[in-house]
Amino acid sequence: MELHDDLLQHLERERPDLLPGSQFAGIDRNGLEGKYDHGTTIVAVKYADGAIIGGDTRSTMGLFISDEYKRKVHVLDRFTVAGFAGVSEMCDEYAGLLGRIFENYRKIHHRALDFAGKVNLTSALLKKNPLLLHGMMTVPILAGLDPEAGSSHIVTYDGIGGVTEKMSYAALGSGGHFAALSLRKTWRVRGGQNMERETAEKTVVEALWDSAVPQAGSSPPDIRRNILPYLISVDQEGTRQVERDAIARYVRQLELEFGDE
Amino acid sequence: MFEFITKSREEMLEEKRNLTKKTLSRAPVGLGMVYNNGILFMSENQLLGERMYNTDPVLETIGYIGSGSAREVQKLHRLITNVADSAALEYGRKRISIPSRSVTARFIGETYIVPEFDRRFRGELGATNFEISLILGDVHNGEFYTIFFDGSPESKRDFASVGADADAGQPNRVEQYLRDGRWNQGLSLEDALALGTKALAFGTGDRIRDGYIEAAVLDRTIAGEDKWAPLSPARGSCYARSPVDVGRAREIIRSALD
Repeated sequence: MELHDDLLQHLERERPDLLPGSQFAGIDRNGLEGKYDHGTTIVAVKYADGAIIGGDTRSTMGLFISDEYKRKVHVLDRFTVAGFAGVSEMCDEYAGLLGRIFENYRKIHHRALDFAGKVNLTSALLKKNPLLLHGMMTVPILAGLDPEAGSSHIVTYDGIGGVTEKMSYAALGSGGHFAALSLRKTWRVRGGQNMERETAEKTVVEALWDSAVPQAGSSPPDIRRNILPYLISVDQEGTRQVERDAIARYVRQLELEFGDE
Repeated sequence: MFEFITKSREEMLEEKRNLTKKTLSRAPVGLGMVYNNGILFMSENQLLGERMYNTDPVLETIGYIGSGSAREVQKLHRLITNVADSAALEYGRKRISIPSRSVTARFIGETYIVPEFDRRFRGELGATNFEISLILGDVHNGEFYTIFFDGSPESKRDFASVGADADAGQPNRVEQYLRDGRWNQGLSLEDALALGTKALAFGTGDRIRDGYIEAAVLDRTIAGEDKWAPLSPARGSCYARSPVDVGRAREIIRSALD
């Protein structure tokens, strides 16, 4: 074994099988058709203390629902959270890999990777996916804090690793357009960058609720079946998962205000 | 000019071993010790003021201490971090409701470090072997896995030591000191720090100074997944905080040397 600079180089030279998609590289596209799940709507907003990211919990395979309780938002490290839309398996693989890559940098260099570094490494890793052009990919949103600068950031990716920094909010996935329209009506009037935490949580749940109405790729929150979105916030203290009771409360409120009956 | 090598393989290995032993007879002494809430690592470190470290985290519940020159410590640090993260990725990247405990200190030692040390020492005679010995410690099962420069491993409970005596094949004075009824399982972290300092002083023939002692813990009471925390100054803010703060730890080390 040679000595490698970092985990990524180590994996490429010693264990390429652990890199997402490498097992299926070169396979005919038709061979993969109908073999994998899709995950959908991811939303992120900035608020006074940092950022909140949220995702619905449905994954689909064609017309079928393969999972109603799928987790699509993940803590990557102390100051970074991410949501993944796209092929479910790719989302999970990238969530695990990115967290490890950031952690590896911290241990090797004795300091945490800064947010700009994380954004760039993520982009580079997305480009390395050999199944990119088969459409077997993930499009993430990264939200995090740069503790040194004291600023919060949200970036979205396109299918080939292109980066867009969002100054306000972001939404991706099959319900992304609907969620973005919802946020367009709510984010700024509720305080924008100065929004309070609870308002921000409610705003994210509302956008996810709105996005699930006109398309089948995302699950509408359903208290009776315990189908509720996952929300994770990041601020100077670190990351925190929003309690399910609070999310259920927001959903009940939305049903009272905007419910169809 | 050509030089024909007429030595046997055994002679060459012996030469390699003696050379490395000679280098390592000046290596810093390091120890790992179990206390009531976790594992304590301590090492003499002349370069502590220059922010060069012998002890680092490997995975959430695993740490290690290396005994060798700064160059060898850095080489080993990169190797161990990369192989451990690769193993953690292989066995733990899909999260379910319980964490994966498949990758232990011993797993990392047996799977990656021992074969690599052995290959570089015995497998290729011309290769540069690692001139370092190390202890991997796992707070989850309280095991110490010691690996010497030639790849020979030892599994120990309670406490373990590398460097100087241990590498030169002499009786290990640090372990001797701890074994003489001074160590017990119920030691608090503060008591363990004082005992570890004295053991290091004994093992190094009292050449040690308090500014040259590096320390770190893997402590079960630390909240969150990462259990590793440094007890040396200027290690930055990217690690967990130890239950005993760095200032207090330095005080204990200083007074134990008096």
